[in-house]
Amino acid sequence: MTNPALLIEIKDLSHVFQGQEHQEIKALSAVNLTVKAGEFLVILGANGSGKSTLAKHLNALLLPTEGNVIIDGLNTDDEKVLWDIRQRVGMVFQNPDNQIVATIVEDDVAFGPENLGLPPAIIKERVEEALFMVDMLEYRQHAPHLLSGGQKQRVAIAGIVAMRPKIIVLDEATAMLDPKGRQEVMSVIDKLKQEGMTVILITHHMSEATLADRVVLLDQGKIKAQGTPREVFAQREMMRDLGLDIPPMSQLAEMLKEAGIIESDDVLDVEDLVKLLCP
Amino acid sequence: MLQDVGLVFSPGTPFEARALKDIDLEIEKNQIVAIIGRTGSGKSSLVQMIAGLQRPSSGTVLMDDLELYKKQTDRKLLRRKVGMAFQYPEHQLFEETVEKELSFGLLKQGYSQEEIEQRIKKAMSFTKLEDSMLPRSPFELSGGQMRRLAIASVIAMEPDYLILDEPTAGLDPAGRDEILGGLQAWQKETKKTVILVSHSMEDVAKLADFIIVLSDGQVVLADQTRNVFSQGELLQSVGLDVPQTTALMLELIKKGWKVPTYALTVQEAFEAILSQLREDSKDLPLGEIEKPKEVS
Ligand SMILES: Nc1ncnc2c1ncn2[C@@H]1O[C@H](COP(=O)(O)OP(=O)(O)OP(=O)(O)O)[C@@H](O)[C@H]1O
Ligand SMILES: Nc1ncnc2c1ncn2[C@@H]1O[C@H](COP(=O)(O)OP(=O)(O)O)[C@@H](O)[C@H]1O
Ligand SMILES: [Mg+2]
Ligand SMILES: [Mg+2]
Repeated sequence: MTNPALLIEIKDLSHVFQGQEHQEIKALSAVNLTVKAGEFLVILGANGSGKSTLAKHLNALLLPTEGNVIIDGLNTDDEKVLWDIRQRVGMVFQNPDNQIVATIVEDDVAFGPENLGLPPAIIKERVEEALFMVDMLEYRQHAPHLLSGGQKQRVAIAGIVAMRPKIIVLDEATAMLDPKGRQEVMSVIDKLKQEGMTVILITHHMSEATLADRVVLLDQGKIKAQGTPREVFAQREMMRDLGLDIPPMSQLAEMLKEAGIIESDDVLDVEDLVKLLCP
Repeated sequence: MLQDVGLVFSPGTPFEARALKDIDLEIEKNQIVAIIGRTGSGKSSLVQMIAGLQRPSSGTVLMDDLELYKKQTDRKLLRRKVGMAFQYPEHQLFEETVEKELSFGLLKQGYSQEEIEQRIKKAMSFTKLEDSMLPRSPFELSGGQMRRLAIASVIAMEPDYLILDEPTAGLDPAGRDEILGGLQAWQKETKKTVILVSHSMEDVAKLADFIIVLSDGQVVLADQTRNVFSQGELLQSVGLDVPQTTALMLELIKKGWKVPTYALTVQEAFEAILSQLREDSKDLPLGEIEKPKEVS
């Protein structure tokens, strides 16, 4: 039965889409996955492997064709708990334009907490805190639709953060950000983690995946592998076969090891490699 | 060519945004040009302006001999010359099926059915889209598939100026390498001009011949790729990164290594490390390669 230590339990989940001309597209098949409270999980996989489909099951935007998704003990197929589930799971998507609701940044961020019926003083505090976290406080009076892509993403993230859900799912929320913006989001995620929030990040940036507690690899709707970033990135053949990347410093380390210059190629970033080259 | 171009959004309102200021730029043909800069620095505004989609508030934009924002400008000629893939593919896509999406522009240009089919086939293999997607709705594709479709539909037009706004955002790494590699080959073969916006210093370093660095609506640097990446400090001062291979070189220099101040690719970094180690081992007994000593 349900295990209270597990915040997310996905059991034998399959999802089939009906295409425009009634063709069937199997996006997920028999996925089993559990996530503990406070975990930082990264989901990797090629385009079309089922990542977004999986994410949309977490707050019942999609319902299983087969199997079950249980969030904090609540089954997504139970219509009566839909609201409770959505309150627990905050989503940030690829394109923030679809998520922006207000004409001023701080109103946009306040929208969620207002819907939760929080008192104005608390709302104000949360909005400020969330905007500060994503480094957008100075834009609080701006019109969100006039911001550029990366700035909008940060506002969208703030809007979710201000609602303090138990789980925050970021579906390529960093895809449109510049490297600094991505770093900022990654440090926001770190802060969220410290506050005990469970974070699920979907990304194509391997450097972001190196920061996860656990990495899950999706391939054609199935879980192909999972483990710590070091465990997963060590399986280089498999990563390449799945169309995924190896961080540039890992590639370089591999070449240097083959040339007999360093003994180990257990390297994820510049710092790791410098340590090996200058012991 | 852009002369003294400025762009102000919502002038005279509290939301006034000066997206571009005093831009004077000459872009040579037959090369890959990358535009880099932080979010909000004006990249999309600039490429939309070059594509004839964003009228400047001041200044003139010339493409070949065509002045873009004049009443008598031949729009049809412009459409044939320039093709642009938008930052958000869903802003670009609008047809019912993938097939219609791919053929829309080609039909407008009056190509024969045979030519259209051929071009679609080529564009789909370029972006690794499968035939089974043709009857599907563009809006029911995954994010990365949509991106591929948006790129495919401009590639199919084979414009003289191919403009891509953050084309690799949302692509999986293999797709990114395939499409960028394909672009490079296409540019070499056709001698056309590719202008792309990117946040990936790694990709830009590998791909671009020329780089334009924007900061706060202004051009802070416009130069050959090597010259741009040899100015790591300037890049960092406008909030940009250097490629990790360059960051490694800078770290090694701090440790007393005598390597170049930048490396654009993994291969270049590998060679730089190798040749430094060889250099250092000249005074050592044969066969022994020693790591450089740390200076502190
Ligand atoms: N609404 C939909 N209708 C029909 N098919 C869909 C729909 N949404 C997704 N699909 C299909 O389901 C499969 C999985 O899509 P999904 O969006 O989950 O992929 P993804 O892993 O998020 O990919 P990406 O990296 O490109 O974002 C794909 O084949 C996609 O085309
Ligand atoms: N349609 C618009 N209306 C008003 N301001 C805009 C519009 N588009 C962009 N801006 C503003 O212009 C500046 C440059 O934006 P943009 O060209 O999108 O930057 P980038 O593509 O480099 O992220 C930003 O300050 C942005 O807020
Ligand atoms: Mg997706
Ligand atoms: Mg942009």
